[in-house]
Amino acid sequence: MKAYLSFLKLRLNVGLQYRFAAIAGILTQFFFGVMYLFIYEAYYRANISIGMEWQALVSYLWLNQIFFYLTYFNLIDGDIYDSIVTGQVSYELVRPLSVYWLWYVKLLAKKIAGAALRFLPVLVVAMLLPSKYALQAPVSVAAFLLFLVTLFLGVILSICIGMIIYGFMFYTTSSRGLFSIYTAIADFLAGGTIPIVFMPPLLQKICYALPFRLTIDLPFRLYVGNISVEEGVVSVVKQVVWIAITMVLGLVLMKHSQKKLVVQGG
Amino acid sequence: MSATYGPNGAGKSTTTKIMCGILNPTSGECIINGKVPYKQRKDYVKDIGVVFGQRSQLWWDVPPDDSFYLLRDIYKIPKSNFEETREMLIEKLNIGEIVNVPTRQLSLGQRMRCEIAASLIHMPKILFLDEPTIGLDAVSKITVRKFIKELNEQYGTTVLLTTHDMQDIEALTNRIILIGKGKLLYDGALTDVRKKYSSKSNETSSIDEVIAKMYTDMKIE
Repeated sequence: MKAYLSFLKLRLNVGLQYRFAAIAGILTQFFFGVMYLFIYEAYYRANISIGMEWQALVSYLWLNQIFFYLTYFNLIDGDIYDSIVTGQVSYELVRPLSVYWLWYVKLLAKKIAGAALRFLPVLVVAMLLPSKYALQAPVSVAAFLLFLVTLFLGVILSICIGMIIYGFMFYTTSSRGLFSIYTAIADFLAGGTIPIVFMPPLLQKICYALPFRLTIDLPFRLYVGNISVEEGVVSVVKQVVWIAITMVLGLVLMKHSQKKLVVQGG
Repeated sequence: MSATYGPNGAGKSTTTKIMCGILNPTSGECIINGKVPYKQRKDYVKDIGVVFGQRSQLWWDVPPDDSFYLLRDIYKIPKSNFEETREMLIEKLNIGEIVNVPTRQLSLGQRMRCEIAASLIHMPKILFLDEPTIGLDAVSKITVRKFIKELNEQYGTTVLLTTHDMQDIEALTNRIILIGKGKLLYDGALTDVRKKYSSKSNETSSIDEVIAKMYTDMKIE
């Protein structure tokens, strides 16, 4: 356990060194936040009745940008990816550690370090904007607490799902294609591209049946009051169940794939 | 201490990786110290140290010393043992001035000495060296060889070396294992090979010439 903690600490240190990448990221988040606001404003002007109030939508969009680094499904972690493609993974396999947990911690540290550097400036500006375009306070204390819990569990869940994808990486020579497809589909099904309430009914049903929405759609809609506290509590149970399922799947896959391992690059 | 060698693509590194528990063999079995490396990987790798000359086990963005401390936690090394080993390695490998410099700023020779230190910080019983002197200058090569020899003599560490550098082999060991196309071709003393394959007209052929002749003779070129 201590080994994984030390690993987490060192990894956070390294992650926090990339300050310029963070500044670029912050600007990107502003740009996307503002762009989304303008696009949706056009829709709302047309008075099309959709499943979310304007102010709730604004908050949803800003939360998505503020916690982007934490919730986005893009997993191409340079280190892990390169280690498999170049064969550097050899060194991880000669340690008395589980590769699954080692990578789990790597991804977690990366998300935390990245988000820690980015979230505050976006949060502050999102609150200071004219009220029509600003992030609002959460609807209630209970909703806010549930938002924090579901956000945290959502991150854990998204890494569990990601580890399954990493397990598949061992079977392919280069997985950039697999990753791009996964990122796009997962982010869409999670409500990261457009809120799920705006989707056609059939698509909504698919999203609700899958675990992805528990990472983005759930916590942010809880915050804005679009999902009730009661439903939120039930969803926490769903999150825990999905975490258990995906974790077991990932562990099994990782164990199996290591037997078929081919180290590339001599 | 033994050295494995053979032409490019012979299977040296693959053999090493099987012995390190990284790869599963397609057939056959491998037992080291009563353990099957790829089946009891986590338990087995506690007792081994590995240096892959073409890769790095040090964290690129932080000084080697930080990597050492991480390894301490990974291998659960008691504090006093760790300090003692660390100081010994720093002194013997002459890396006192560079352990606090970020790894990315080190030269290859400096880094390789730190790599070797990292592989020994938990005082493994077996040390696998896969081309440890690749790309090093004469001074670094000599430091590395001298240290490995000392380690073997003083601490009784088993060293399994894989290399193309015949001078490495000559300086370190007399037992050589030749493999080619995945088959064991020779296991014995280097001096015997030398006797057999030295050209008759020139008794002092260089070791590289001797080996090249041996490859041709065994038709593994």
